[in-house]
Amino acid sequence: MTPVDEQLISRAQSGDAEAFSALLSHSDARVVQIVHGITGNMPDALDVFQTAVLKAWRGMHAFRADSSFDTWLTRIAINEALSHRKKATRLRAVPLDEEHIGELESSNDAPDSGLLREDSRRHLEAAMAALSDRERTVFTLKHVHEYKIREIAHMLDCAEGTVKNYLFRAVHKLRNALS
Amino acid sequence: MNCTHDQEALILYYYDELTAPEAEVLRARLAQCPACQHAWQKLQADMQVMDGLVKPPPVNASDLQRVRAVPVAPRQGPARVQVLRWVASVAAALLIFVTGWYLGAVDNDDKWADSVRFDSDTQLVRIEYEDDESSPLTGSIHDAPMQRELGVILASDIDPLNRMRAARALAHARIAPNVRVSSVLEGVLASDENPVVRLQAVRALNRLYSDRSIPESLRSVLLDRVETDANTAVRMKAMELLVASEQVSMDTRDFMERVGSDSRENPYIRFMAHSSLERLTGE
Ligand SMILES: [Zn+2]
Repeated sequence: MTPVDEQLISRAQSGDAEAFSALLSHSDARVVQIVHGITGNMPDALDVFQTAVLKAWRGMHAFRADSSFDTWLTRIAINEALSHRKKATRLRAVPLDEEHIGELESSNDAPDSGLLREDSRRHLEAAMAALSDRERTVFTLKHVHEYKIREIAHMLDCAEGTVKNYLFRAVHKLRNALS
Repeated sequence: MNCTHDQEALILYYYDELTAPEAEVLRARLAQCPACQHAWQKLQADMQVMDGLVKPPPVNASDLQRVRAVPVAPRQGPARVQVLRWVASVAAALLIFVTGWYLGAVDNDDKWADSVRFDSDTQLVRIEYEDDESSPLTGSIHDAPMQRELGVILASDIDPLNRMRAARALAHARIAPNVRVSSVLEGVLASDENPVVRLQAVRALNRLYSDRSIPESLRSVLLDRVETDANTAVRMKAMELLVASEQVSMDTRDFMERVGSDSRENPYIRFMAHSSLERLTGE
């Protein structure tokens, strides 16, 4: 953690909203993308992120410097996104995954050029949507955002071995979709 | 060499998650086992295809700006007319200040209210939390810790139903005026986005200050609300409190004259303005 971050954190902890916003600005785009990987659409991702931000602000005094602010915020956001998904699945008769796949299949107007690539993309997106929330989260965190397995374990509050298993399963399923 | 053709180690190697000795062992294996060599090349090729296809979605900068501003200005009021807009920002800042004060004072790490209930007969409040670990909080609305907890909900709960119930509890309680409760309600009245929550807040303030003089900051917020609130019921209640507080001041008088003579104004509000002027001027 840089001295500037430390200063921002202690200011945010004593109720300085500007400092908190400054801290957010380092991580927010990435965290929204991670949340998007779980919710599957941008409006929900932004909603979830907003809730996470309020929780983080409200719980700022509980933040301990044993993890980075980024990891901590990501962790809150992931928890929020996972519980949002749980509620959404409970509320809807059709799980989000199937809707998502339906959307993908209906948008079948790809141009001739790169048709093969478009085909792989659709297969891969469908396979991504079909992953479990945790598999998809771990894959996004590792493959897209390049977090270390140790950090991901901290964000998901689980053992590193568990993270590895999610990762292996996700990579395996996605590779199957490519072939 | 006896090779296990371990695929998982290849994945960890790809992601640079093997320790140096583990990576050394793997490289030796790749050098000796054609099947593993082939599997490694295939994995790299697949990952390359995935890199091209799995892209994080673009995030709109203005969406981020909006979320980033959430703690700075928790809820923007509907400010119809931009008169006295600074009042809302002062009150919003006050709300932040008070929230920060509460955050420091309340020892709950990550609790989020699931429901707020108030029994006006017993004056007891019961708050249930979303996570299963936090046990429900029950206590008298006259106790400072409970008032603080309601303040936290009012200032930061994202569920308008919870904010409304917290405000309604305060509106129906028979509590003595105190800065702790008053300043939160003032902030909510000035900046909560939900009209029902603002209405409950102004009702609670009416109850809190019945026939008592009101703080200057509250007077400014009330003037602003009467003038700019999108909800007529909120404007009427704000007007009632202004009139009931009976504070003689020049700008209140000007304000009442202006409102009372505005033909587009709501008749009830005009009537209150007139009767207030009559009392202020002793006519
Ligand atoms: Zn081998």
